[in-house]
Amino acid sequence: MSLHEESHSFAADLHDTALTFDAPNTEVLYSHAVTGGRRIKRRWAAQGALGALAAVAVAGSLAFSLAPGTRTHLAKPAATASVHRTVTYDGPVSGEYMLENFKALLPTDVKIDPPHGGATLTGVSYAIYGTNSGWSAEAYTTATVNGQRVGVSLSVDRPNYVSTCALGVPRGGSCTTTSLGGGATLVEYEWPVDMASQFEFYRNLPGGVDVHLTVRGDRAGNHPALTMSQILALVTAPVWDKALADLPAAIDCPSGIQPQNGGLGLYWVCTGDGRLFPNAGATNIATNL
Amino acid sequence: MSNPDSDPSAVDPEDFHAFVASRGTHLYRTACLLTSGDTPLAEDLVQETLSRMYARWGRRGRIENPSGYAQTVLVNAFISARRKSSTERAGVEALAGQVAVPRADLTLRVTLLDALRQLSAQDRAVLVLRYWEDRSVEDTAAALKLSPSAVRSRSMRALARVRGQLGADFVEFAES
Repeated sequence: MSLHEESHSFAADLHDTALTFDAPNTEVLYSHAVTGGRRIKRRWAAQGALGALAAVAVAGSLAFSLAPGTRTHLAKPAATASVHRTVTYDGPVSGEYMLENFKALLPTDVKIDPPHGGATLTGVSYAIYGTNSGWSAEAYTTATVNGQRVGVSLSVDRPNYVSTCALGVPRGGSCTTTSLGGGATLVEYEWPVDMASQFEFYRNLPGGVDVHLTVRGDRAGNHPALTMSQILALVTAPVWDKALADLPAAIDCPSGIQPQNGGLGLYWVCTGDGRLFPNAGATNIATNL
Repeated sequence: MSNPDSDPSAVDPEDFHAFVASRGTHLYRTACLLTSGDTPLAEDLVQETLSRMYARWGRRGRIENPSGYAQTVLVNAFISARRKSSTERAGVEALAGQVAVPRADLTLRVTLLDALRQLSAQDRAVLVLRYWEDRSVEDTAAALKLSPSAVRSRSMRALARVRGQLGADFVEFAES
């Protein structure tokens, strides 16, 4: 077979494969894009307001202070003016910890999918998620609840913004806030979907951290596949306190400069003072626990 | 500080909704190929891409080709924010039971995605842009910030690796 023929057939195979994937509902894509886009615009606005100060900071000294629970691991002078100081973290919670507790907390009527030759639970601890989150530890599974196919994910986060109803609700969606006491709130988003359902629950805690539960179902409806008591039990379980405590500190770049994502997603870096924050020993595991 | 959401003319929500409706599925399928079938990650990538598009939509006069721009944002987001391979593997394996597709298609999908997963992110992106997006070598090079010669060599090398991974299956798929 010639290279041309081979390439042509590969293209056909790619097309056949791609067409087997059904995209999420347009309204889901649209509503999330609006919410995410607004966050980006707010960040741009904040950066613009701080731009002049940032420019002064970039030109200034490399003085910095370490966040609690961190230590300087490496200071590698470079031949150029760019100097990165790597900051590492003590005692990050593992992906195994997230998965074991996630599975243990799932209600008994959540039937985790049997493995298809591989794992059915996946976990990521302290990975970097694009540009919208600071630090996250996550566990995820697909399952069946009362005959409905669902995807359930739980993450413990220190985001660089707090998800509240003030961020806006897409057309047809809803958002409610409930006080949980002790300064904590539960924010519930319902996304409008014709053929499926998606609910997100944020247990926002003092200090800018949260426990975030997402429940996606393959049936349309106004109620999540889990009951509210089950949802509350998941997001308020004491086992997450350890993960919350272990979350790396917020990245506080000088003069409000936003940290930059770099190294093919492996770290954040403060361009203002050269501090480089690796992904805290992120572990990614898949298991049949 | 100005409120970026306060100017209703800054964003045309109807146009953007139409853009999502017309391009969302294609973006998602591209993301599925890039992530070797990790559908949760694919969704994340599409959401991030569309979020960036929305943020710039009010300035869309500066985007000559929104569809092409979105694809470029998606590919770069994939390369810069991808998760580790173990998550991808679980995603692919979970897929087998998630979507009802004909057995032949499922076999092709699992086999091809498994082969793609063996490639580096950049090699995968080269193949997806060239053979799914049908982009030229020059366009692919521009999107990935590579030279055209690098795209050609990566493409040939990646195809050879796919051929090596699939073995007889590649010939079977190629000839079918």
